[in-house]
Amino acid sequence: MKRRLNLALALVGLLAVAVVGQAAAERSQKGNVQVSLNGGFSPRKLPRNEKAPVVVRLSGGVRTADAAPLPRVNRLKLELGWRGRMNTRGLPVCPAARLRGLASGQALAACGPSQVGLGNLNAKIFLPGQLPFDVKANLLAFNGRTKVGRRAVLLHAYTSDPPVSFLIPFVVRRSDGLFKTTLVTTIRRAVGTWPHVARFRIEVGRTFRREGEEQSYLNASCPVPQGFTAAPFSFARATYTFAGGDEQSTESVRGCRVRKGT
Amino acid sequence: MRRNLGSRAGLGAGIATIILSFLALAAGPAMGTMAEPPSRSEYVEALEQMCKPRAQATQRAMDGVRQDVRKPKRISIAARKFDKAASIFGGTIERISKVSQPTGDASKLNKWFTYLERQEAYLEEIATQLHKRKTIKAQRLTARFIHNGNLSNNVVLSFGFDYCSFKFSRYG
Repeated sequence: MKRRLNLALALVGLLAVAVVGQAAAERSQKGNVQVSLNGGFSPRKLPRNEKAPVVVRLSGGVRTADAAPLPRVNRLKLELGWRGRMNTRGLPVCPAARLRGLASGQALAACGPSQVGLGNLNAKIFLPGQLPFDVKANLLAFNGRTKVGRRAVLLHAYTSDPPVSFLIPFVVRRSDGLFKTTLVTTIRRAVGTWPHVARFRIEVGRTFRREGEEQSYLNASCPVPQGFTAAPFSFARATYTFAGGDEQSTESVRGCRVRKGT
Repeated sequence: MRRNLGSRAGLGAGIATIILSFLALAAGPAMGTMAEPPSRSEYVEALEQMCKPRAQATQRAMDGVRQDVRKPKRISIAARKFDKAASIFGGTIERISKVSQPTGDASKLNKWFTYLERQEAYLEEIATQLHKRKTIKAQRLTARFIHNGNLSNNVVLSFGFDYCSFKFSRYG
């Protein structure tokens, strides 16, 4: 009986995952260029008032509606609207210099304790006098700092064919308004002008110990008013700035549910 | 006689001129409505001009609604904000539906307008449920409102609308 119940619960769980997984990416188009953003966080059930550990997933991309060559993304701004908190106290900082020129395994060996996420990146490389070709890079996210000491998420990208690694530093800023946390990177400065980013997927979140207590890198609550059990909110917004200065953004709306008894 | 004929001919020519002028005047507006349908970019431009002030008005009308729903005493204020947003939304649909559409886009736009009408209905229903203080129903309708908004955006994605597209951040 217990086994059947477990199986039933597992099936319900799978169904729930399937339903959440079906949340389609939000897209927008200007001219022939489409940009997209998808993502979410887990768990979706969170305390109403207190913050709990979460893992955030973000994926997005650029494509052209008419199969024209991809425009180059010079700058990417990811804004998070969730009522979350990034907790880096007690988490080791990985200096950017330590990651340069390393393969994924070596980067992990060098800065493993600072790792906060992972993912992948697809890009098209446009080299002068050659046909464009695709590359797929593994991404590792590390807790870092900018040269002026600001908090940063350092994205280490490594592609084995051709064997190239590069670093994309996202500066973390707090801002007013609907989107409280902003991560900005100038891709052109980080990787040069040849790669044209097609799509990315990243999952960020980890736990670590500080003074014997378990901490989480990302924490969030579901601060819905009394009388409500769930609420939608502007989860994230991605703004792509293309070579030439054109900007295009898309916004993703997700919902959280209040954990029972909170 | 010749003079008579001549004067009759002159009179005939005068009448013909008047009739032709009248026909031309009468035909004017008719020809205007039968003018070539706009291109997609002209259509988008025309609609965006209508949507922009209304999207901004919606944003102003919905300002602070998230804070309002937090306090039971202010739920009715939140409901009135949704009423206002629904009214602005309905007015926008009425105006943009009168704009002649580009050829070849009729089925897409019909589908879009169906979604837009559903959006308006959801806004009205959310307001009604909030007036009744049925917060859970309002919450469920909000989820449908957002889903429907995303579907409506996808239908006209290739049009590249900005102010005429659904953006949740405009609703408070």
